[in-house]
Amino acid sequence: MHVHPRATTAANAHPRRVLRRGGRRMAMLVLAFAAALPSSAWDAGLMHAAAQRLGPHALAAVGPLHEVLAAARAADDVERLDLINRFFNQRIAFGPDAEVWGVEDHWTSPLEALARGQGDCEDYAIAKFASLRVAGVERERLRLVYVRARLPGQPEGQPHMVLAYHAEPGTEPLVLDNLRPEVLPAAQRPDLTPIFSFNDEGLWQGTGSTRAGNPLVRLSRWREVWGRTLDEGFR
Amino acid sequence: MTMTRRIEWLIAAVLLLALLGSLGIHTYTAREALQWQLELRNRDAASALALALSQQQGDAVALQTVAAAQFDLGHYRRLRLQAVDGQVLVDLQSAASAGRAPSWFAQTWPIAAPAGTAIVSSGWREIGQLQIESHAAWARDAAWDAVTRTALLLSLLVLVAGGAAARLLRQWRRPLRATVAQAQALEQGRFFEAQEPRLPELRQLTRSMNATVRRLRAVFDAQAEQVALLQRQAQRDGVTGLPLRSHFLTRLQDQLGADGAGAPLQACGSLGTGLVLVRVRELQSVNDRVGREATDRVLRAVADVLQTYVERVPGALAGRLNGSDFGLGLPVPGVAAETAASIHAALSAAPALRACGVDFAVGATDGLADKGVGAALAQADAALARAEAADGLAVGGSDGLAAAPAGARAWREQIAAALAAGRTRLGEYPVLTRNGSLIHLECPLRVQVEPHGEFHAAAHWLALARRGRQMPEVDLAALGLALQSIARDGQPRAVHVALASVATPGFAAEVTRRLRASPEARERLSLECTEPASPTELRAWTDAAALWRRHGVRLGVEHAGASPQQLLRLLDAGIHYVKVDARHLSGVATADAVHAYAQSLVALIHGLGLMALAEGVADAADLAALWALGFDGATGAAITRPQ
Repeated sequence: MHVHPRATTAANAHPRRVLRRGGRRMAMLVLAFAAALPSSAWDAGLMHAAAQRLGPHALAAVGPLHEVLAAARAADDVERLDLINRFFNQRIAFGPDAEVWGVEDHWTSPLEALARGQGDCEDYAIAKFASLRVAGVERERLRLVYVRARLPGQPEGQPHMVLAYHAEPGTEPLVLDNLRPEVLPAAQRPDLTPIFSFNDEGLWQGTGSTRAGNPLVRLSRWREVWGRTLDEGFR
Repeated sequence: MTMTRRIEWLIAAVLLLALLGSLGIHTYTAREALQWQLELRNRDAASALALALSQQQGDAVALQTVAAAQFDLGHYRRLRLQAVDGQVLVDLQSAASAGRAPSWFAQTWPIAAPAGTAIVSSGWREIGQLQIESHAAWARDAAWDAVTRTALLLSLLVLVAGGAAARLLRQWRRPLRATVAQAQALEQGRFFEAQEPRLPELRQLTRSMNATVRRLRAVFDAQAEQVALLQRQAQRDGVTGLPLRSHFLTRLQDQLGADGAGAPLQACGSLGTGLVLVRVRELQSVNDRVGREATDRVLRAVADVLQTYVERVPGALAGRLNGSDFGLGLPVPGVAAETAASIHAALSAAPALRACGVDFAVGATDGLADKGVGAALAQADAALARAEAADGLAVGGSDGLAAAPAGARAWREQIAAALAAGRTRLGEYPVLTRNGSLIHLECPLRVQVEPHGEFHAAAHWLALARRGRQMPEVDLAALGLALQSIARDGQPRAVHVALASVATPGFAAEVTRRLRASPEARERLSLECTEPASPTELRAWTDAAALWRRHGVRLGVEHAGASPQQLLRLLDAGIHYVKVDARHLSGVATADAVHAYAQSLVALIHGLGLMALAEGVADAADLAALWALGFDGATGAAITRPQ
């Protein structure tokens, strides 16, 4: 496994995918079409502009975010999970939407969560998902999972959301959660019962960001927040 | 292609383009929106079903049952669940239903959306990927409905817009045509002022053309005034203002209706029957005795007495025959004796004559209709001689009255019967150009008033026909004969049309109807009238002339020259030629004043772009002079037709 060093903050830098498998032929193919393919890196300029709109907290967080993304970009998947998981678990304090936003359920984009410094379970999951995607983790390996979480003293549990990483399709995933700060295999999380999993597949197929302006696209919460996330440069 | 036609095509093209363009855009956007709806429907269905399937703990039967239930309840084309290892767990398909939209529409504008996908899992373990595809027939139908409805509405809109545009164009076309008509009229030598249209560009154009017309009229008016002055000088006696001998005799000849002058039909149409001659006796000795000025006063006093009759009696004409002799032609039979007596009385009482002790004689004669002017003069001279021998007043023979039937009604019936029985024929007097080619045959009507009697010239019956309001019938008879003759021998002919006829309602239309019936003969027909005297007559003639002109008939004015100003008013009518009356031309070879007048008249006529023809040319020297002046044609005794 080798790594391409790159200027991660340059928005117009050639996107280069870190290839974990697929060999040399695949690498050549990807390089050949790199310019034509949607970048899996992030758009630093867009991210900066979005942070400016969101205020000083967001601006202060953008620098460290770039650093950790750059570091993750250069690492392998397991290390990426650790870096990103730790970054957001440290930066964002848990707070239910009702307290933070004054509404029952509020889906925030990564930069919004960083600007607030607070968020609830799906805000962690979305931020980690978006960051891992731009750090180079393939879409097929990541799943946002609705789970039932049984906290101590709560035998019936409560709705919760985590991010799951499948090294191979159909196998047991690694779980990124804000309740437990470390990345753990699913088997070590008997407190979580998965209900439903999804990712961004099929949302933006072959359409790039142009269709993000179409109001029909944002018909669900998930699509809506994902649209905002892409607008913040996570693409 | 005319301008309006081009604009019509332009509007039609723009409307069609707008229709097709907006229809295309509408179809495109409708299709986009429908495709998005379809895609979202696929996704939502996939998410919902994947959520349900993820709760089955990976039980294959439960997965298939739930999937089948969703598939059966919904309206899906395909539902497919593929396991992680590539094995197909569920694959349900239904045939596409045919929608209302025609197949060509579905092929031209295909509506398709990617299948919705979602992940199905059991616990942490992923089972596979779900794909759901909806039927698109409803979307195609919706698109088809939207497109047809839009097409209908847009077509309606285009029709309304097209109608409005056509209406506007029609409004523009009328002033445009009027402007073009005025320009064409200018080209043809008809000068009328058009009403200014409201369209600014056309208004300016029309205003300019109107100004041009006014300027031209002013030029012609000035010219006509000049001509009128010359005319007076040529034909009037300088002392008394009365017409001179030759002029008087020419008019008298017309009035008497004697044939041979080529112009038996004439303006006032009087049945000239009486002639009164007045002689100032021993004028030379009077002159020697009282001097030239007193003599002139005497002459003017005589002229004044005669002039009162000219002013009071329509058709009466006075003239100075020579130094001492004056003449008064009377249009009504049976009044000569009475008139002579009252003239005698008036002169006896005139102070100018009494002061100088002037002796005078008055001779009168009656019943001169159809007599030659020479005979009439001889008869009157005889009476004058008798008067000189007697007490200064004598009335001559009245033998000419016998033929006249009693009463206007009897006349009217006789003329009507003659016309009904076709007892009519046309005289033929050639109007030739200088090199002898025929312009047309002038065809005055002859009527056989009494069965088996003589065919009489117009002078015999015209005044009575006019009094009986039979002019339209008379003119139509002449027109019919002329058209027949032209059809027979192909010779061009000219027929007189009375202004009284033209002013009669329905006459112009009847003439037009007959012209339509003879499309070939009418090309060789000329219609001519005298100079219209009243505005009503002028308008009637102008309207009728415009109507006939369209049928290829040539139009002219005859017996012209008395009033050049009146000639100018005929400019609107669009005539082709002017026939100058013989009385303005006789003596052109010898009299300088006549020559000058004829010269100015022909210049005026040519200036208007018309042909100048001379009437009643009796003298070969006169004819030569007229040719030299530039007359285009002539008729009369001096004209011999080359065989």
